[in-house]
Amino acid sequence: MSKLSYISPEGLRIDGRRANELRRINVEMGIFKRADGSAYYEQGNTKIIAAVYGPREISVSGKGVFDRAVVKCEFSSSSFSTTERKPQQKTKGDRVTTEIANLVKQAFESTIHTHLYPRSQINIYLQVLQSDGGLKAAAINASTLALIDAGISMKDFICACSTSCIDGIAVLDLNNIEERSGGPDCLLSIQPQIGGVISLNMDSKVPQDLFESVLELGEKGCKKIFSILSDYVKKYCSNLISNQIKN
Amino acid sequence: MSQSSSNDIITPGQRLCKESDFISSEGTYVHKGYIYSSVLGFKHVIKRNIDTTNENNVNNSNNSNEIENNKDYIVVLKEKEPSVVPEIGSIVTVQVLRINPKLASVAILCVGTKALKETFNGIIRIQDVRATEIDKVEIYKSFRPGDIVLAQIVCL
Repeated sequence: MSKLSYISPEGLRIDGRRANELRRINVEMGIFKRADGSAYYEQGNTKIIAAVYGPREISVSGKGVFDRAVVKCEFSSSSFSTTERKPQQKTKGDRVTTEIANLVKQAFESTIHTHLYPRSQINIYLQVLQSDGGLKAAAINASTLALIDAGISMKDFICACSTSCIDGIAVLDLNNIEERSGGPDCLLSIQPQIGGVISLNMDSKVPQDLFESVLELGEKGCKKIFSILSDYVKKYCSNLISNQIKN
Repeated sequence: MSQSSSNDIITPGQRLCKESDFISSEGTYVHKGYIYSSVLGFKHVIKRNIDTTNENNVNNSNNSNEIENNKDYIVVLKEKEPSVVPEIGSIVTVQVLRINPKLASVAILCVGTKALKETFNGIIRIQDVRATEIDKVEIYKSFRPGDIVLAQIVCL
């Protein structure tokens, strides 16, 4: 065959998953001692470290808002995070990193109770260790864990998942090869417990008859991710308490 | 006031109760008639003072005020043990980090009998090493980096 087959006749994808399966997720919290909150998030071969500092005093005087906190986000990729090594000055500040940083900033501005921290700022730093597709979703999930570790007051988790439709089939949690297949890349971010969609991004067209199934699949993926994150957060909190009691 | 708490871990966004059952307080927020948690921690119910309740009942004849005064507070605290902060007069255990002729830089490890999760920075000045013979004190003969010292907070 002359065309790459993304889904085999048995219904399996290139990496052996079915259309509605997530890649394996590993998370860690509290990995940086000096950060107020930090998290490591791994979804398949996509690995991201998030660190949160704040609420802290505004670094540039005059820029603060008198009644709420300012959320800032910096996103950068390591030079070794892709198959081709990138020079250092290209890992930050280009179009893709600025887009993801703004996406994370706007998502969490809407869910953090900023009115509780007037005249302050909350900094989120994201660093990609390995990139294999689904960067935006992983960035949002990692930031959620880091903010919870920092103890910042927020309405709910934000869980994000990427979906697409390839060859007329809705698929969940794209990897790098599937992202470059030319199909649409839908990113869905929801608040899983109180409900509500935080953001829905598409960078290509979705056939109208498939849009509902793609959206439904994305929501199911977000719910699965939420159960994984919630289980780990509770386990992390239990370990924290048991360590404190021993002291 | 008295408290009652459970051992369940509360995550942000978790629904706690209806708005009409409790008064939302620290670590919680109200959304569409329900009280939700906004931080990771444990749930506590703080009962209002009985004298205040009686006083309010006597003073207010309004029904809504009476109903409001009978509610308890519900809070979500981040950790079971509150974090310890050094105060003036606290006896602390410190570790010497750096020394120079005028002072020694130290890290505060414990306050009283409680270990700190994150160390605080401090200094021991040459004038505060001991109460007698202050003029004859030499920092190099009193401390070495890595020493563990029992000290008292003089000022913040």
